[in-house]
Amino acid sequence: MAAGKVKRSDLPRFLEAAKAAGYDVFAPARAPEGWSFAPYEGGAVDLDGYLLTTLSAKALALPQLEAFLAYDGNDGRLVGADESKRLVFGVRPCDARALALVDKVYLSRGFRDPHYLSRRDNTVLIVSACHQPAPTCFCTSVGGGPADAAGADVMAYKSGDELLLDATSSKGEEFLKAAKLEKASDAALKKTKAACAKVADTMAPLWELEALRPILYKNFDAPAWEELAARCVSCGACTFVCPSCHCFDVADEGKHGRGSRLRFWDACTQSRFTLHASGHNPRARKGQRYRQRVLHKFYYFHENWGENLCVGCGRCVVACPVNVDIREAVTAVAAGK
Amino acid sequence: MAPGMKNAALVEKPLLPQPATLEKVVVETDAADLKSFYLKFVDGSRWPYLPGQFAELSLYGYGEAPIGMASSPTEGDHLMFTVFNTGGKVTRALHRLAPGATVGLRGPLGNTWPLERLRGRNVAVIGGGFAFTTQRALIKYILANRADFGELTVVYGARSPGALLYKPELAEWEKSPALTLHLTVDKGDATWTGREGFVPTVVEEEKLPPADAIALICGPPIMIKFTLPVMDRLGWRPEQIYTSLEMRMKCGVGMCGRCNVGPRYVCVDGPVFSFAELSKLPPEY
Amino acid sequence: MAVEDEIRAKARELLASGEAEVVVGFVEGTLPLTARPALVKDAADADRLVWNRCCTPGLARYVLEYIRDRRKRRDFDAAKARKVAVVAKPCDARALVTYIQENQFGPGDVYIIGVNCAPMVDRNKVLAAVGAYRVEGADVDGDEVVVATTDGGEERLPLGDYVDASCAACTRLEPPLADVVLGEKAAPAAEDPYARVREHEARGSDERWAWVVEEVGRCIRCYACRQVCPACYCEECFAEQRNPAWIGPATAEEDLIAFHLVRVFHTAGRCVECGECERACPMDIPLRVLSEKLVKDVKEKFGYVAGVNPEEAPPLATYKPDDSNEGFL
Repeated sequence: MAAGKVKRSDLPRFLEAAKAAGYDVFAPARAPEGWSFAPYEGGAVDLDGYLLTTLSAKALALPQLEAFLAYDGNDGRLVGADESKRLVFGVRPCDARALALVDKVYLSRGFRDPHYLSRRDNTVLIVSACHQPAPTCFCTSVGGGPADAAGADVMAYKSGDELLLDATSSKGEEFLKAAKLEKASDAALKKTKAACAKVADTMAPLWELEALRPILYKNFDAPAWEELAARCVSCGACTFVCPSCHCFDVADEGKHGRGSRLRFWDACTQSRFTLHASGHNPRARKGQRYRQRVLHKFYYFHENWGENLCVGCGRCVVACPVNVDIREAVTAVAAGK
Repeated sequence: MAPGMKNAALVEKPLLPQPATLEKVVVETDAADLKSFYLKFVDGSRWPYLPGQFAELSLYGYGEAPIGMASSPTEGDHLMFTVFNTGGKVTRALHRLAPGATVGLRGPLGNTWPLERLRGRNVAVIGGGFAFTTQRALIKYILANRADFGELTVVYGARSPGALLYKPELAEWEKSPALTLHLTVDKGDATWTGREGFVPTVVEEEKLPPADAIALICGPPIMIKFTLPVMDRLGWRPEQIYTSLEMRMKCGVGMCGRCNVGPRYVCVDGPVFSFAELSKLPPEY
Repeated sequence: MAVEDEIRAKARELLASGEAEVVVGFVEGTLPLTARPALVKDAADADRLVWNRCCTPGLARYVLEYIRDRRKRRDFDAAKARKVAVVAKPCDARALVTYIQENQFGPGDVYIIGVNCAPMVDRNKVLAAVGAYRVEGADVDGDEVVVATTDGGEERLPLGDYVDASCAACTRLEPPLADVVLGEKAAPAAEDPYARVREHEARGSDERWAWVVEEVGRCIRCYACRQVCPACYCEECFAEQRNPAWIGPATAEEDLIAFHLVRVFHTAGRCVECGECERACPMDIPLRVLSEKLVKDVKEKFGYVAGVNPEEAPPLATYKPDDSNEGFL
């Protein structure tokens, strides 16, 4: 399907049209913490000021808190899945790629999570290709890129005073068809894609990842793990801002026999993550936990699903209160330190 | 490794427990810290399961606990779980239940004991303490399909006579020609006339033969730590020895991310692993 | 000799002589205007230590963690244990005093390399002003922040306008307890440490509540604030107990309010105003308004300042018949 175009000044109209068509529309907006995906309330979207949201788009598929089951005495029923149609505009390629990776965990181990599945099925992702990286971006080091379409339904490119919208999935095609946009010129699309490719060229990969990956695992006992983690404070900031972290905890909350079973974000960096009821804790030390985090991102997930779980968005590097840096960690451990 | 048998309801709604009625409670140990729960599904359904698998036992308002299935599918409609009261929210609440209560079950989860490798071979079951539960399931299964398996040798030990599980069955097995049972306790009491000694010592004394045999070991880490070198001296290879790992679990279906040992998730790739497999995984369990 | 050189020399001396088995200090970070904690065990590594206007992370907690961890080791011999040395800003030194007051360790367990402080730079404010993606590197040079931009240019900002919020309100620039004090004394940046609190106090009761609910409503329960806070060192936090469950585990509004209000009250009379909670929060929640309000209240009601005198006991851990009853009766 040919790409469509929207004048940048017409973007509000485009988003309002989606709302009128029944979509809950989310777009990047300034927030006290930086940028966030907020319900679109009208007005311009600052496409040039916006780089990356503080929290990733993950919350739209995997909310921080979800009551997935309601119980009354011994009777428990699954809470109805959220089937609302949603359009998320302005997701970054790293965010979209991360969701496609998390899909593998929630949908294809032989079990299907109905809540996650419903949210993903009913959400259209319009991914804003990156025309410049943030200083902490390293997507090109982990198999991604500024115009990577993995996980995207529609790719949006800046092209002069226009936005070019190119469908990259059947869901995206369906959405653009209904939007009835003017056709974009092939030349314009080619030009803007080339501009993004140039951006990728400025982001030299930090590592030769495929060769380095098995070395990370081979150096399982490297002293670097404890040293790198010595400054870690075992909070969950890195995990919670990460677009591909997907671990959760479960707890029941109720009164007088009536309540909900809750699912909420959890972090392997925290000391109680693997604490057994007996008191035994296989990952009692920070170095063990940090190693788990890095190896999961760069090795274990790849062993299971063939792709790198870290998407190089750099949010963890920015969020860490004490400057633990995953880029540095991978380099140090691979060097056998 | 035979994959676990899946329950269709679980595939579509992996986090929804199925209600079961508690039909019978048996206090297994003198200290009453272990109880066996006999459960039957409220809607009369049956699970397709095999020895080695586990389930999440759910009590609304408290939470869930992953417990190995101690019954064999050859025993009939009941599912039996032997639960240790850890003092935590869920197991404490389970221990307060009386027959007639409802317990939610999610499962069957995990993989099974390596039955296709056991068929036609000699089987050595080595268990300690209350890790013996899924091994009971296997023993009952083998006894019900006796011709399919070679010699069955069981070494089972507990701290004291009062701590032994399944005492009536142990008494039967001691007399049965279908298996050889070596029972032992760390320390006997006034009435104990049986053997005294740690499980690793008994394994060494009985010289369990590795020829054409598979061993299944479950017990506290210290028991396993001292038993493996004995097995090695007797000529057993790591690919002949299986164990069942315990981990902190929440979802039991490979999603919540907390039960991994390296790239393997204990709830879906395990809990049964051979020591050959474990030797390739990080020692984080 | 610059303070940084003095720190390195002292660290080298302590490690080489064996008086200390570790020095907790700062090393250069991987991001512009960032220094980060490090545990140096080798005298040869002392030259990695830095001291500059980016040294915001709190180091006191690492001292406590180190001492607690080594006590738990099977081969730990208290008789052979050597000191834990630490580069201590005044707020870090105050935190160490609270640990001594609360019997976490004794004064002889630590060697405090005190440093007279000056307000640290607010790196996020600098990045926001210049544009995060334009910053190639940055440095504090005298009273200016010098930013090298990606287009090869340079921007100079007056440091005074880009000072960290907690540092800007700080009136205690000298460590209350130290084995040695380095650096020149500086005048406090602020005359009134309670400016932000007064702004909050000026709001009516309903307005205050609405403000708190809105701000903590962004919380994602990452616990960064708690993990960096010197006062929060419980092995099991009330917020994570499930047996009993005092509050819910996640981001329901009532739980966010309860978590932050209860946590700040647990730090009342113990908060050393380091500002790490607010700096660590990924959601930019103005936590210091809550904690400084309690600092002010404790000062006014009990005449007490946290972490100044190791012989003192915190007011909320002691009872005196003439304690203020304001608010109770």
